[in-house]
Amino acid sequence: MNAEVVDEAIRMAAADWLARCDSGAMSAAEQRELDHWLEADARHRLAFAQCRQLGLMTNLLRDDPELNADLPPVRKVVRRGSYWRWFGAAAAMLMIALATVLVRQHYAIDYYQTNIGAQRVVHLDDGSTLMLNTDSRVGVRYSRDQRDLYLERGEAFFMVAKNRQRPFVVHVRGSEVRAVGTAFNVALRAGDVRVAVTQGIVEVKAEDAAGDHRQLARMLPGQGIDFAAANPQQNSGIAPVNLERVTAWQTSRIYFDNDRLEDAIAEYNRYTTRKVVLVGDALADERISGVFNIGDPEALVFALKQGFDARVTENDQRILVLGPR
Amino acid sequence: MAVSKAPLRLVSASPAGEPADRALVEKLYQSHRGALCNYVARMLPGGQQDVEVILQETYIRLLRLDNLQHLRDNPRAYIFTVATNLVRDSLRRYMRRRGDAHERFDEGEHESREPSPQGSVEWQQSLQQLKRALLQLKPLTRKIFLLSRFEEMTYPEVAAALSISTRSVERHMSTALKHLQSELNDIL
Repeated sequence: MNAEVVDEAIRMAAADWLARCDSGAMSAAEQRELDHWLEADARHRLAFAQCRQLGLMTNLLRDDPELNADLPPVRKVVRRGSYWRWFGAAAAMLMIALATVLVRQHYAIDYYQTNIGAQRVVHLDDGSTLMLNTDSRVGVRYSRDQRDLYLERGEAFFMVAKNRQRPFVVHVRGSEVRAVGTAFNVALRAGDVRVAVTQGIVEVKAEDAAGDHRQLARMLPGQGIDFAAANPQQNSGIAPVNLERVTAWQTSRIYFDNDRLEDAIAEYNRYTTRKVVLVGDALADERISGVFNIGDPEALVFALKQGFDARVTENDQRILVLGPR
Repeated sequence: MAVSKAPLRLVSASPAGEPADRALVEKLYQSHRGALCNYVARMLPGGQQDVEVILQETYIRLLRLDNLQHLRDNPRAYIFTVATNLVRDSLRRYMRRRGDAHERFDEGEHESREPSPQGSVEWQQSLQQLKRALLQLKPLTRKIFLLSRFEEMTYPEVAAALSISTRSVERHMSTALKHLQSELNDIL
């Protein structure tokens, strides 16, 4: 059906390229050549994507008995349930345990999450550490070749145990933050992704409009980038970041540096269910600086009263802040 | 925080927002929509609803293009590539979810992990077609391709398991992909 567009020669080339690419042994020159080939013609990109697709679809036939028939037996026994009845109960139990371990390695995502106002430190199997900020959710999936983490909500700080053979990749809304032995912060706020590096080198890969992953940034400590999750090409570029500010949450502090009051309060509210509400626009554009403790609204209220003559009314659910009379 | 707001604003004011560009994208998308719909349906386990989601997203991505040159050069290949990449992501998410389900199954000590025929008729047909194509491969080529896919084995690992060179693993992988492409020609 599509033959008039993608011809035989292109398909052959695409198959060769994908096989080469998946070998993991491609030289930098070959990588450039591949990029060039893909760039040259939309049909090349299509054929390449289709080869990938066929590979992925094959994965879904994983449990097919006929296809498994001539695979080496060692792996087959562990994975396939249909043979279990031939083993004794104990052996079956062992198989279940083994299968669980294997399946865990292959697929399972462990989720860690925090509620509003909570923070959590998670020590991962490989020696890496994960710190979750308020109202955040991160999935962890370790396979043999790669350590995949999925920031689904909120913000997390990653301290990565070095392992060159097993890249550490944080996925966030289709983009990837990649590191080898380093520490960095990733935050997802209202459709924006913010990455800041405190240690080592971090690469950010994002999807372009055509859905291909391309390098968006390669950053050193003290650098960061902000981009729209839905369209990473719209980004701040690599910019210096205030690390003290970015990492303040890890010591339950929140750091404002000449921020708009409205933004500062929105930030503060991430940590509390008893929200601070700015009534009217009178104070919205005022600027605020200072370090506040998370979960200590009194200090913030005091600062608002002192700094801006704000009037404050509180109840159990919220703290209303009004402009000066 | 000022920085973070800029990109969001720009999204809605992307260059394809020009009426002429928008009209072109609309025209090209509409003229391929029918074929694209069939194409996506055969590559996705979900039903019509998931197909619609992919089509929507494809359209949105086209609208967001800064430069329409590639799209103009070969609209069909371009649009189908965008959709294929989206299908790929969707399929990965599907497999992750399915992975979760498997684990829960095992922990509950349920034994039934049959190849669970799921998804639309089109999808099932594609899988059957793919399976037939895989079974047509020479045994060694099939073994190599399946070890790499099913077991997520790297080329060196496959090479070691079968006592062959990494280069020949690569050649067999390529041969398999060529065969699959030609056998599934009507889907692609």
